[in-house]
Amino acid sequence: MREALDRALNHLVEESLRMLSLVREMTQEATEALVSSNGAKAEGVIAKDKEVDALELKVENEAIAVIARHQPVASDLRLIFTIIKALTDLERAGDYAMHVAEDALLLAKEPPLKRYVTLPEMGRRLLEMMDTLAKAVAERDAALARKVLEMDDQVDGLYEEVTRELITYMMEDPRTITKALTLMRVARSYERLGDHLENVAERVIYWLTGEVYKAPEDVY
Amino acid sequence: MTEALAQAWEEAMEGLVLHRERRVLYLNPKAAELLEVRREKVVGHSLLLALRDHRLEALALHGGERALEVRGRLLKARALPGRLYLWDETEAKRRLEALEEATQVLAHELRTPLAGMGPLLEALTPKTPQEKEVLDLLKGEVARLSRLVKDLSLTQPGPKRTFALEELWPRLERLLQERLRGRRVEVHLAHPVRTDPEVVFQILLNLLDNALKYGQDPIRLVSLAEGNHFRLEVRDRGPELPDYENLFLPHHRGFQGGTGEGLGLYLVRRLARNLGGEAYAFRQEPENVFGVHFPLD
Repeated sequence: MREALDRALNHLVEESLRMLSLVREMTQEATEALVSSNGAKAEGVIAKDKEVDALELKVENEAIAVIARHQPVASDLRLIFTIIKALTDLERAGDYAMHVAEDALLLAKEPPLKRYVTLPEMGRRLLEMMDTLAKAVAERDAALARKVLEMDDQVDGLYEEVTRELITYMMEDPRTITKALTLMRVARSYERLGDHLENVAERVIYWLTGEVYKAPEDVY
Repeated sequence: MTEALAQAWEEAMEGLVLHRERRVLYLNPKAAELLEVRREKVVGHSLLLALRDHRLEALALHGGERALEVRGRLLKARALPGRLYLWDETEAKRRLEALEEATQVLAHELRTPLAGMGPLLEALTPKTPQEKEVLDLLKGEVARLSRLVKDLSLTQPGPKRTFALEELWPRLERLLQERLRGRRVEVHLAHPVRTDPEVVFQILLNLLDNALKYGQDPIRLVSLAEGNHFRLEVRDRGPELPDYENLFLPHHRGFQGGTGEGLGLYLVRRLARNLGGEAYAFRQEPENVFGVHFPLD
């Protein structure tokens, strides 16, 4: 009985990792589409969001089935709730990667406002966050999950930087407003994507330590 | 012997992951390094837990070969039943990026002096047949260099317009007339497209130039529309090549004794990517196929 429950729980962890890996791929490709003005690549990302949505539903149903079949308690139950809550965040993270791709598609139709530097850097940091998060989950390492929270602060810092820079552009030349606003929306999507990863990291800490951790800025 | 082999894999410079029924049986130190995992944490566990990448897992399970960016590294992965081999290609990619950057700087620096040289040469009046011959040679070389610099500059595609692909053929024919003489070239460019005609012309010119140099007749120029994508191919009856992907690397010649700079297909790929598409090459008996695809507007 215990063995069957362990198998089911491991499977749920694996499927969550798969979902994280899909969101990572979307984020990477959305950033590449943005930098290289590659509309076809952006369209590919938009199509992948459906896979993430389908996987969310599948894993959620499986998690509910595990509760119904095994009636888990203590840390097992904590894991299942971690997964169920993390699924929502991952699905939202996928949505934001898709929003970046949608804006990349818009931006690809015209010459770029400038050479993008900070935005791809935000994308790169998010990929690192996802890699660290995947490692934290795979190796059951709460210290790594805490590192993810610190990494999100760097993404927030870059967001501020991009916003300031784009405001300067708009003030200097009002003709740039439309493009600058789209780029600001891209930065916002990256920033929100990071927040959802931070939420997942907090839940991983809860799963591994039982400690309810909230990043300071989340406490109102 | 088995023990020696096991020891050799422990010391190998190539990563190896052995798996069965989606579980990791063994991974060597190099694979652990490339995947950034600790062996004791993943051996005996699920494959996805070790690879932590759904694309790599799919490759391991279904077989094939692919280059993937995994955790900041470019990994070349080859999968056979129960075995996944990994190589680190990050350094090669970095070198290519450095080359790309240097190319851009060089093209930028050369563009202005070259633009001035053409009119200066035109202003010279040769006095003897030898002088005329030298001058014509110089003009030809400057024109060739200018074209090369233009091709190397990573520019955004120019204005789009709708045009029939057939329109490009008379211009190609004029430019390559000497070399087309006595060759069998079939043109099936039936589609109208909406894109930058100059880029498409340059792509076709490079592909046809290659086919005339290295391929065998009949050479076929073919256009195909597939969903919202469009393909443009130059096919020839040349012999099968050992490797089709490496041909797109700069300074790589597919044929011994190639006379070009080894930049033709590299430029085709760059131009195709500028259009939001990709360049490809493969064997489809009895032809070698060189083509590009890009989205229809």
